[in-house]
Amino acid sequence: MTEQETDKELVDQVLAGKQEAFNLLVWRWQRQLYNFLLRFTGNADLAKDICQEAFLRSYLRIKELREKERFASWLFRIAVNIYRSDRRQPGLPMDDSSELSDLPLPDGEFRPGARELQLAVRSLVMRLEPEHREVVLLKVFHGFHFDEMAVILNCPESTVKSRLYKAFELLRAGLESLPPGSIQ
Amino acid sequence: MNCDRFRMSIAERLDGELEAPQAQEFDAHAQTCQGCQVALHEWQRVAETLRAGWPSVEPPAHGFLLPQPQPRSSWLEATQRWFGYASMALVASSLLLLIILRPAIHFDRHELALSFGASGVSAPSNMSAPVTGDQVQAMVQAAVHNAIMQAPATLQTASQSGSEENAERLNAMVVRLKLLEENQGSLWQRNEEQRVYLESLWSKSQASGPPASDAPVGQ
Repeated sequence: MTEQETDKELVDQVLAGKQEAFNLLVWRWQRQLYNFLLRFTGNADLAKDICQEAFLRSYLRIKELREKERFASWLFRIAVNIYRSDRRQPGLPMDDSSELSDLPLPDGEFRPGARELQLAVRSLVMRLEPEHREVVLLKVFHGFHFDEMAVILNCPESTVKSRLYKAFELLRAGLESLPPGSIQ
Repeated sequence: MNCDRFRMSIAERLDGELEAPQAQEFDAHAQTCQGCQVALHEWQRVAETLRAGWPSVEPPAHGFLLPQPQPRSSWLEATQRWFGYASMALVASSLLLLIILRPAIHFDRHELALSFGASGVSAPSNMSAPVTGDQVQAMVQAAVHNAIMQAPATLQTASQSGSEENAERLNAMVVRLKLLEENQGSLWQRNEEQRVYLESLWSKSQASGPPASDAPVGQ
């Protein structure tokens, strides 16, 4: 088994009974999925739980995957469905930005003002409506194409595009309103 | 390409999602329209700021767990489970017999008697002879024994027909039947407990209420 194997090949191997192939899929996608959920929920524990649940469900239901080369879109869609159903339950801190400063930071050194920039960006993203936040995260941070986003979010491509452009206008206006010098 | 179309296509162009002709139109428009050039740069600036402001972090160090494959059960566990099913089947068949034979306990000439019959019509004397639990047990035992005795002939037929899979299945079935035959004592004991329990229920219902409408005539 090599890193060069495509998602489709790995899915085929899982279906043939090789669980280690699924471990490789997890290894390949866990960073992307976890960071998507972290940015969406603003809560590291919740992101971890949903990520775990999404991988578990995808493993148990992998026989239902029709387009094997689209494993990532399918995995993200499962995660989106989980947090959408969880969001209907009261008490989940989905839109609570009070914990933003507690979110994990990447390793490495920061240039001056980087901390302020991070807090400003996180605050702007978390203030977006969930449907706007989803599209921004999927496109800007994870580079999904519009047809994949339509699958993940279960809505037409045209809806995805209009949400993205609306979200970008809000973000652009939000960044412009920041005090001068807060963004390097 | 007009300006609205251009601005709605920025993300697709930046991610390489546009087909070649559309990409050429996009680039040509960008060179001629200063407003759209600004919009394109604005888009890139916002995207870069977002990515710089919220970099990815490493996922939890322990990773994500998957269910482990279930270990195959031993032959002993499988046998115990099979006997559980066999005893349930025996109890169920006994209950079925009770339903079919519909036993009724009644006083006949100052003696307690057991009769069988579904209707309110008196059964002929030769049909009203009670079928005892021992007789039912003997019938089941005989059926199991016959199945075991007939197995060699059936196996021979299967091997002659060249079906190894069927022969294996029959062998397994014979083993199970022999185990059943050897362990009938405990199974029948469980069956007897069920019968006693049902009879006690019946007695209670007779003591607390009027006789059932389909009770045998002559009570």
